Amino acid sequence: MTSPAARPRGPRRTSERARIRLFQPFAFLDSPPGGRRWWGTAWRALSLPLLVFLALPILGLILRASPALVLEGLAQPQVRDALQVSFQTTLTATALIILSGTPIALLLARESFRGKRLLETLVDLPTVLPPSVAGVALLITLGRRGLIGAWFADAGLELAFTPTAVVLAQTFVAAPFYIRAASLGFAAISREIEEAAQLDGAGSWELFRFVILPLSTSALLSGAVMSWARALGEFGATILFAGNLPGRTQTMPLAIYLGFEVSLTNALTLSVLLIGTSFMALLIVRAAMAQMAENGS
Amino acid sequence: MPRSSTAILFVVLAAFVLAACAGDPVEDSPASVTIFAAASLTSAFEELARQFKSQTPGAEVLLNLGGSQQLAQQLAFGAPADIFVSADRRQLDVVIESGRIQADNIRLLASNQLVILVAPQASHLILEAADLTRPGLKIALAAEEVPLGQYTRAYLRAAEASGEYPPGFSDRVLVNVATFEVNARAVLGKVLLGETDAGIVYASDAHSAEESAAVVIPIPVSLTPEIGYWVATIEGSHAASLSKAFLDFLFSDSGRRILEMNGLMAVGE
Repeated sequence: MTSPAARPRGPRRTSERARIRLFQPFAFLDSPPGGRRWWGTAWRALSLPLLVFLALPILGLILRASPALVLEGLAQPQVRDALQVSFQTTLTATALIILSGTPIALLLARESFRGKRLLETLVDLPTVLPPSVAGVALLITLGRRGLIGAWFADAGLELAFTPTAVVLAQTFVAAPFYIRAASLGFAAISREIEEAAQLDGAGSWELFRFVILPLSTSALLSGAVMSWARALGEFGATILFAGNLPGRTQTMPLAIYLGFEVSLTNALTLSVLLIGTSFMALLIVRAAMAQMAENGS
Repeated sequence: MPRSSTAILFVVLAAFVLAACAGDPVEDSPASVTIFAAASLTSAFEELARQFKSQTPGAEVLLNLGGSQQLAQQLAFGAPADIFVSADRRQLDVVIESGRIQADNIRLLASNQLVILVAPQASHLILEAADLTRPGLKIALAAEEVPLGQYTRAYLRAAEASGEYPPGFSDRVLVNVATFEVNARAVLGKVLLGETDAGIVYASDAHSAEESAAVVIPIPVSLTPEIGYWVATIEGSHAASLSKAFLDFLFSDSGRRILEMNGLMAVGE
């Protein structure tokens, strides 16, 4: 056990620098230390157009919605319900994706087998599929008149229009992001380390728990965060498969869509709330990851 | 990377950025008329567009079908269009306020009705509106935020107030709602797939579903609010003469026939 005071100076200085960078959004435009100043500046200037394009619409939204309206929106029970449904379902979906996606990622990273490329393509498919196609596919498969759903319905289990359906829709569209990141993380671990651990007598569970998992933590975490973010924004598959019932299956994106039907202000308020909460959540996870990486080094 | 190739890369990227900023707006072809129409008019307007094109050589009809509120917001934010057909009189006011429609330039085109649509293999026997209160039934309704949802709620209230339906009719139907859909087509889809046992849609939507085995139960007109479709021309239209030709066709006998064939009631002059 080392106390924080006894930690070597190097990593701490890195973290201070990281913290400073967080509060100076344009620090990246400064020329890098050392020579080739012209090139460094040009390269940074080239990154500006897309950054501005990505940031401006968000800024436009935030400028149109006043803080008072956002607070008022937060006080509405329907908005709070939607936030609650969104967070409950996306966290469940993320947990489900991690539990069931990790074995697939391991398989893709470490085994070579006939039809592997086919499997990889299948896993990636939901990312290019329009979400509404995913929703229809889920409905005609798992709906009560569906391919498999009909059996479930006979057994008294109807999935469509339930919070479970929301989780399934989110899992379907978001899982590829985690599987992809996790399998890249697993593949990056050098075989030599694993072989060394095995020589020291590690069984396959120990190898996974004490070697593979610690070495790929940041890849797994960032994959999980990407999946969670995708699930949070899920709209098309959800509205088709899970329907829209406030307090039960109405997530934030659905509430925003219907808010737009009533008034632009309503939709803006909800959008700013969603952006704010997801931005904070992503920021916290990133900070935690940086902290973990630092502690690990 | 050698200096020269870096410089070339820089120039190429800069050229892309400039090209993206300076793109010319495409001139509107006067031979095309853009129509924003309520989603519940989909089948009627597809047919109207087809016949108008066949009798007006060289004319192109671009249809943007969506929820009336969405269309009204798009128009208020400057979306290019020549004609707006709204399923909701109030949505015209949104566009009038934005200055893109003159208040005296609107006409009632047709009216619609509500019906109960029953799924081909509903889990319960549904023969009349009162059966919608059966416990365990799954119903799809339009969300309160869209016109169909408003009309549906008005109907449920009026039905309960009439005293001819079981007590607590409105609440007992609402308890059975599995999903509040974003438009009439979405309600229709859920019912036709059999995922819900019944739904309330416009007569015009049920009309397009007639080939399927779904059963249509009419709702008395006396219990529903007036459901009118309003048409207006957008100010400063690039295709004024073609717009006028389309409107003339819309209100002609053949236009009226197409509307009626699609379950709408055309309004006389």
